Amino acid sequence: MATASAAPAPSPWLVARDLVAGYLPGIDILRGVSVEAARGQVRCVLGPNGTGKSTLLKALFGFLDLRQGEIRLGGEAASATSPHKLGPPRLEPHEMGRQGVAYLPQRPSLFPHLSVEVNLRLGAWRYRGDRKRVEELVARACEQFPVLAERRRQAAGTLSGGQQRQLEIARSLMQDPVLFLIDEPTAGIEPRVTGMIYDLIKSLAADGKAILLVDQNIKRALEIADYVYVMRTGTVLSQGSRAEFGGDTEALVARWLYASGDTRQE
Amino acid sequence: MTWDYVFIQVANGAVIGIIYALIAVGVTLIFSILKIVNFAHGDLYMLGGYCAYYVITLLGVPPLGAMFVSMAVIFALAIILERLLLTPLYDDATERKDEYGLIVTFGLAFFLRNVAVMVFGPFPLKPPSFIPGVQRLGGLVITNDRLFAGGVGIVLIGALLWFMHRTIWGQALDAVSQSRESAAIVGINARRFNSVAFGIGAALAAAAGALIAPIFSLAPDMGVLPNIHAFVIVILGGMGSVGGSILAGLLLGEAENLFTAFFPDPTRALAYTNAFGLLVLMVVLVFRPQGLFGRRHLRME
Repeated sequence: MATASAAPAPSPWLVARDLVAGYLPGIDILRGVSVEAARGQVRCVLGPNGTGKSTLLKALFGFLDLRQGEIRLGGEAASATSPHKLGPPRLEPHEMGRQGVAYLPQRPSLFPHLSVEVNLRLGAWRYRGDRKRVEELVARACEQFPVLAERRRQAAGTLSGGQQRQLEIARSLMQDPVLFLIDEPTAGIEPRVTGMIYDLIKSLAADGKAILLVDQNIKRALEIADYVYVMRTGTVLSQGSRAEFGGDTEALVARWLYASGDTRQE
Repeated sequence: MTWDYVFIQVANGAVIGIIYALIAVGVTLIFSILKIVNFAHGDLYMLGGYCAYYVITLLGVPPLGAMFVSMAVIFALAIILERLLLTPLYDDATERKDEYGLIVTFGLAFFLRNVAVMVFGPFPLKPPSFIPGVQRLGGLVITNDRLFAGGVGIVLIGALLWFMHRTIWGQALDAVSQSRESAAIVGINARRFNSVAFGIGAALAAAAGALIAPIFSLAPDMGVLPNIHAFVIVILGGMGSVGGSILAGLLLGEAENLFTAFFPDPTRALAYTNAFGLLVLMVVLVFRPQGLFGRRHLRME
């Protein structure tokens, strides 16, 4: 897409260390999770339901406060803005876009009553004073996603599931992010268009973006993954490049997801 | 009863309806962003009227200019009140937010009303007319102040609609009302819009107070009925629908005035006007529990 394609950087762009977080006092959902994401790579977090995969993305984006741990973005600590909060200091979610982080939650985060075009314009909120730049960004998005250009006056809530995902990705690209945190991109979407969405994610990585993808669709996710984390009850049970796991997804599923908990490895 | 009388009531109903709408859109705006019903809204309307009165009588500003001064003052006051009283609503740790909002805004309403009695005195005050005189059209007689109030009210509502639909700040306000989480994802600081919504809503109420003052005069308890009306209108219009609350405001204004016109015993009609407004509300809710113009719920996925 617009940014020059970069070779996978040697040092990861996102480094998260020993994250501990949870919703209720005294109950940790994440129990010391460390993950990384590098430009040009799709990194995939797999694991059974309820292991904290979505919680991990929420904690990374700031929707959930950390109890412990550290997050570094592009070599910088995602530092304090709200010192009164408990736990390690960190950025608020609305500040993450400026830091180069885009978040695509499981339920599309569009504004359903606003038009496709207004959704895109709001994606460029940080450039709101610069009309020319916003117009260029909208034009770029319409060029990249013709299906959205056709429907630019339509309310976002009237789009199909696949179109909504495209709009969400188009909207997040308005801020030129480096890292995409993507949660279940094809949940509830007709199977016919899931391939298109995975291709789109793959092409983002090819453009030099760092992708951290949480998915239940293990087979399709592994097809585009460069690196895999397997989570289990709030910890990373196992990790490695796809080559290390071998191309045999069924064996991987059997071995890592449904094996007993004592198969922990570094 | 003559047809002229009916026409006069229709015209009065339109003017009152526009004033109702000005008050109610503020309540709607605040509800859609802060998720609380502001029961002190009528009292901000009262303060807006008094503020304009003193700007006219003490500073010698012309009435229309005084209205704008009053809007600015009440805008600032509302933001201070919001910062002081409503910030606990935005803390996830606060339980029972609805109850908190209810009690705090009710408390604020009583506080403002009683301070008004102390500061402004209990006796009605009347500022000078915007434009003295009346307009006649056949048997139809209507004061210039009413025409002026209706006209300025329409312009202000138009300005609000333009702001909401045509500016990026208005669209962001709408976005925050639809999903605070999604707003944060695109980088909008939703907290800032709590103040913006409360301030704009209060400024519109202040304008309504300034416009109505030369027609009905000012009294510290003038906000009590508009509080109830605004609540009725917001429900009629469908909670959170700005367009709906404008239409519902007009509808309530007309319904009340026509009821007064057609009520068989003219000596008692005025006393029942408010009861009739509530009757309209109940009938509408029986048939349309979501209100007349509630936003059709668009779901994601």
